[in-house]
Amino acid sequence: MLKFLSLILFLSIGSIVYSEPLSTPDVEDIEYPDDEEPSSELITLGKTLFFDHRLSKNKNQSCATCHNPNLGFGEGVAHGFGTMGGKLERNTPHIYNLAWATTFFWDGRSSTLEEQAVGPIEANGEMAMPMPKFLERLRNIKGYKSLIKKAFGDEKIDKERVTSAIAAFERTIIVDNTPFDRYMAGDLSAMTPKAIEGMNLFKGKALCIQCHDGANFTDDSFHNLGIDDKDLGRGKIVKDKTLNGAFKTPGLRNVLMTAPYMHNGQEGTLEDVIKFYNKGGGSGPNKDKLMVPLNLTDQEIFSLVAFLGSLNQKLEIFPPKLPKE
Amino acid sequence: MNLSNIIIIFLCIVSVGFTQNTNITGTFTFKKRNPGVALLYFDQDKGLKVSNANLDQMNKAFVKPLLVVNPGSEVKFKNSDAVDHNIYASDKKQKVNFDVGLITTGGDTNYKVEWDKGKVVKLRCKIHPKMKSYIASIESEFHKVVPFEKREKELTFEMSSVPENLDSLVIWMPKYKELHVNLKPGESKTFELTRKGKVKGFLSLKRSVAIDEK
Ligand code: HEC
Ligand code: HEC
Repeated sequence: MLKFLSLILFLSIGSIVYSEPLSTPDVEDIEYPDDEEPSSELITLGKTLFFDHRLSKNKNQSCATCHNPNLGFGEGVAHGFGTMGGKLERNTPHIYNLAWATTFFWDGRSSTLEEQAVGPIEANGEMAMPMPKFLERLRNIKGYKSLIKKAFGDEKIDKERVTSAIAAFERTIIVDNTPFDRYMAGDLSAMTPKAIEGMNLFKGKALCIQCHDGANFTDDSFHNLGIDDKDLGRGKIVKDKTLNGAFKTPGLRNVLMTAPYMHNGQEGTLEDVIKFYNKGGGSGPNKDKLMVPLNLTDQEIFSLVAFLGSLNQKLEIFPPKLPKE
Repeated sequence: MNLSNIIIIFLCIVSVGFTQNTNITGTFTFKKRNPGVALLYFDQDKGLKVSNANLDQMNKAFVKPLLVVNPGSEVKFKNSDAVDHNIYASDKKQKVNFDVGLITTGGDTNYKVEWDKGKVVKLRCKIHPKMKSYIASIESEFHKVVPFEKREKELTFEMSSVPENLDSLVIWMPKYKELHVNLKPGESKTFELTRKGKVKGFLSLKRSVAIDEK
């Protein structure tokens, strides 16, 4: 009976929303700025900037402090701290496969990675460096001159160059060779039977694909899961109360490594996340109509976790040598 | 009315009556990705009359990559999708800003295009940042919208029955430099397609000599 009911539920709300098939991302689909693939010199400059802690106000924090490559490019805590020690309002998101993304931040307030990069540099709660100060600090580190010359042909340092370099590096952080991808490419032994069962639940009964679809397991859209913490999310940005409490659907590649979960880091493990969905999400107002009790058994929850685990790929990204002052 | 006026009027009628048509074949080639859509139109012509312009949304996408309207047209935005949408435009350069608000499933809303002719404005959705389409406000009946498939690097299209007296052609593509070119009956020309000063592809156009369609 329960099975029957959830099938009806699936047919009545699930199947009508269009979702893209799950797949492996294709670098051919990346829309680089002006359609120009970045040079390796530009990527090197961006990577160096990303890891350089001297560029924050107290010289103690880089992008990589919060987006730590060893912690799934996140921080491993619900709310991290800025250069001045203040607590962050939201959980640090991972930055995998953002090369294909069209909207950035939990509330989608930036529409390019270039534009996004200015945010954390200047934000008081993060690196706390107004752009002119940031550029001045860069100019005082002699070693950057040659890096910039290699990337751009001359030594001029400006905002556009800095943000285009950081974004170019971020677009190289790509997860596209996981057990799931090998399975999709025809290696049927790449995923365990449990994970395959989880994939079928993901695409069916558990409704996950209704929002986490396509090659990166995100619809690049905003939904309210009923998390009640007074953060208006997307609603505040677009000034539309139907989107109050809605946040960006995060991509799920390497999700095993990016705990804790959700915009406020309220869920500690993937099992907790799925249990949250299983009860129909949170109890906050304005919840998405897809958030309904799922009646998943413990075994099914376990299968879903196994599937999410098959979206994992270890990336070897090592901190670069920082240029001399 | 004196004789010379009558002769002039007579000549005009005759020449309009005998305007012959030409066909154009064009081929786009791109080095890498294509721009999604292209619009070509003869800007000397003012004959366009769009009466019921509408743009629908399905499967989290606009159903058309580009909608052509007259300046002053009323556009009906429809939502045949299973999810809500919220269409807006924010084009600082061309000074076109609007927000039609939430359009729920099954709903629609009208919007009057009040910008100058020649402007092509990008439409977006506040809920689905991946969605995009364009509205072109032009006056020319003789226009062609060329949609490209993903990954398509070469595409040939045809524009038929273009009056021979029109020869000034505008070629628009998102983020590309707009081209204003001259193409007379019987001519074949190739144009560079550039974006931020870099050549990204070519457009070869071949126009027939006037053909008598009777
Ligand atoms: C103090 C910790 C901290 C630092 C330092 C930091 N970030 Fe972040 N980052 C965050 C938090 C928290 C968010 C989410 C904020 C929000 O959505 O409102 C975020 C969001 C992002 C996003 C958006 C991810 C997405 O999926 O939308 C990107 C990209 C990003 N940061 C890159 C950077 C870069 C590049 C730097 C260095 C210039 C940097 N961050 C420095 C904490 C940090
Ligand atoms: C209604 C759309 C929707 C559905 C259905 C949905 N998700 Fe989500 N998912 C989201 C959104 C939006 C977030 C971020 C929400 C927030 O932080 O407020 C999210 C967050 C997550 C996260 C945390 C990721 C991170 O980096 O913090 C995981 C894991 C996840 N979802 C897995 C699933 C699974 C598994 C299912 C199916 C059982 C599922 N989701 C169903 C929209 C959805």
